Amino acid sequence: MNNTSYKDPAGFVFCLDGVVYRQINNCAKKDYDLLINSGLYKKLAENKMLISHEEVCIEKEPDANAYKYIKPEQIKYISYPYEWAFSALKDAALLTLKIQKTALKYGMTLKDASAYNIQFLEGKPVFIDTLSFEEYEQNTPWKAYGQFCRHFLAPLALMSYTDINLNKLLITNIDGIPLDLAQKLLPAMAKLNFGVLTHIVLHSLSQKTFEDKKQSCAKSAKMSMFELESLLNSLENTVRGLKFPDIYTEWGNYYENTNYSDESFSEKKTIISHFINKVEPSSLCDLGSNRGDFARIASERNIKTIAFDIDPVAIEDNYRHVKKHKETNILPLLQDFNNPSPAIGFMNDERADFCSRFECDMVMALALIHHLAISNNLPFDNIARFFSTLGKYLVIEFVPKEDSKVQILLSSREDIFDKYDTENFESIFGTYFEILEKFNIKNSQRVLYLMRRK
Amino acid sequence: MRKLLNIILIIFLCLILVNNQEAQAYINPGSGSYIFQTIIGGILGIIALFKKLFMSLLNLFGIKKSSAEDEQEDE
Repeated sequence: MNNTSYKDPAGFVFCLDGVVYRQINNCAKKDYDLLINSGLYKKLAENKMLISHEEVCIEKEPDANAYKYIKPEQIKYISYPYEWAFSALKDAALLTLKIQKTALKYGMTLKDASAYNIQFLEGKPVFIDTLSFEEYEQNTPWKAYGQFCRHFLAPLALMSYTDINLNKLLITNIDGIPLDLAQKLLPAMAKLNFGVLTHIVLHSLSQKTFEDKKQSCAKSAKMSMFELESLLNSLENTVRGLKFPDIYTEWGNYYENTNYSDESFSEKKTIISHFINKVEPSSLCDLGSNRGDFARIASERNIKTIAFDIDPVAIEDNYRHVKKHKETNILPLLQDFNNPSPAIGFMNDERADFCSRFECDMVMALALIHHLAISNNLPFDNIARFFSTLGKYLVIEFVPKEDSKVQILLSSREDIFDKYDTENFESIFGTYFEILEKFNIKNSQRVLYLMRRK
Repeated sequence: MRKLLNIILIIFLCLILVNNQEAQAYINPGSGSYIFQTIIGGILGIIALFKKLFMSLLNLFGIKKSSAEDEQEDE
């Protein structure tokens, strides 16, 4: 069973021989049949809004609860909202609202609006929880309104108005950012935004008003379809109105401030192309991709590529590039390799950690080693071991101490890195990997290696 | 004008929330969301209705607005 699917009595996700399936329980028969027979599934799947699936027979222990088994289109890499670009989270929010509006037209509604129900497939968000749909009961409010505000609106508003890194609050708040916390962190200016004021600030105040008090039963609350549509339109306008903040970051204009001449940059691309052509990986993770210039060497060859970076501006820039050029093989994700995404949730088992989600054929670590070894005091041995767990092949750029970027890192601290040199690098990485090829980059002191895990 | 309308609405909402003392059973924060959206949904519905009416009047007098402008103003 999937780590979180025990929460929904309607069914659960399980894995058999590396293939993901979903069991639909008898109690969800009515809603699942309505999803299919109403034409809603067809409409959403055709527009790639909902993950497509096929009904299958499974040979496993008989389960009296089982109504049907479905095999959804498989998603290789699972990512979480705290790893997405601002615009990716925004697109996920808009997709959720669009699905809810469409579902209402077919007499159905979303019973939850979790950001974890969205994944990215071929460069676009897609809703993956086929069992989130239930029959719409006339004049009832949207059950998932509060969850939508916590999972989407609060992080987007905080990223837009307070700090772009505040999507990380989703790591410590697995069911979305509590609205009272969000409203405390939002600046006064944000509260002039009608949507933010309504759906976060007043919404939060309303929760304080209604909790701990006797109140007429919430379930008897009525809301017409027109009112519900007005609420959804207001949420959509609020989400659309939230903009990526105008900020400068360390890496945002990295390519304008590199040590590379045009010639060296182009040579680096040629060497990486050569490595990729030689190995022909089916998947690649670029661990410090910046805007994705080198990761695209792989994705343009139809290799499933994840472009990681620590910088939200670079990831945002990359995601916009993906959208603009309708790229299908590259997904930009935020990741700090000095502190990668942890496992979170009940028994630390609801959302998986970074290491268990991103195994690939080839790992690329370009101009990253000095940030791990010097900025974070990590020994070569630990870094090599980490890389060896991620992929079979490694493309790595060694940045020597003489390089000006390393000198900048050393300028503000004592140089305690006696062993940070090419000889030690090759010797220690050589215990985990076989060095297949090595190229010095012209007009630079940097070296590119192709290695294979031993 | 629109901002003024928003401010009036906000004050109205605050009054509703602060003065809501009808009480029969314990309700968790999730239920708060449930009740809140019925209130806000009603108000947003009224705004949408007035907006539709206003747009119809504009059309009647031959002053048309593009749908793009229409979307931007929709709140």
